[in-house]
Amino acid sequence: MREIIAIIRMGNVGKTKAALEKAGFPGLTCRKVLGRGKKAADYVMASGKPVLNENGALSGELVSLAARVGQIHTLMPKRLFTIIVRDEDSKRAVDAILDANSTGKAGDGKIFVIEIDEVVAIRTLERGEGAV
Amino acid sequence: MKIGKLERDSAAHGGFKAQGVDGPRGPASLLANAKAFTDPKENHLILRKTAGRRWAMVMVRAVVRPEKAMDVLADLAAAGFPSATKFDVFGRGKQKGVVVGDVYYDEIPKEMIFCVVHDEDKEAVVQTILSAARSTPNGAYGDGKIFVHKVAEAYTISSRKAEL
Repeated sequence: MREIIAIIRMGNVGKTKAALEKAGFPGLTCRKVLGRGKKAADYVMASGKPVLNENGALSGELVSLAARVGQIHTLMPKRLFTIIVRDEDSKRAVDAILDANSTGKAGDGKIFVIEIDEVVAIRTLERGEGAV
Repeated sequence: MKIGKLERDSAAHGGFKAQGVDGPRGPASLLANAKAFTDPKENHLILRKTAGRRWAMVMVRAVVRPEKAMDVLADLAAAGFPSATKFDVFGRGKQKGVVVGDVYYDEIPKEMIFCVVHDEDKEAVVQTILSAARSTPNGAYGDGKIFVHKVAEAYTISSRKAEL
């Protein structure tokens, strides 16, 4: 079995749920998270101003902006999806998430695939692939 | 003995107010980090790792004190690992919660931080978190745990590529 962890934009939850259901993966867990990617300082992008001035230093507007908004803005609100699938379904599930979320812009998110050794269904006590 | 429920203190929760404008992890140092991510000369750390090669990856999950979460994130960014995700959790460890006076707290608020890095960077990330998350030089009960496990695949949604 494989666990697929997808970190996606807040507004794409409904679309992703629908896409996964259509692909045959109705069961999922979703939660609110804060995160950041390779582009660390979001307020730099949010300001829409040049990051470095002509001297190669950070422009003064950014310094005041950063002092104003504080550190919380370095983390963006995201939604974290977790679904467990059989090995052979992993690619289909990943493709479904990619199709629903890929806009080509930074901030679309990440998908991580992790191998799971054991799954137990609490109601039926079934173990392994049948419990997925 | 009463069973208590710890509420999240909005100030301690993010800790943003307390760590405000100055200090080693204030906006000034964050801006220094920001420069590292925008300056191509300083950006080699990131570029080197995403140059089209496929690497073995690990997920590092750390459960840390809420007041230490932003310290950990700032130190990770300074060490060249800006990507991370954070969320609130409640839990207990070997000490089975804490007793304050005659109130027993079963679940203690913590923050879970996780990041996925290439295998070769595992030790650097773990050491960075360890040094940032300990509340006293020798560590104390409640400082948290770090778990590391393998990641089979990672995809960047925007580019649809199987890479970090």
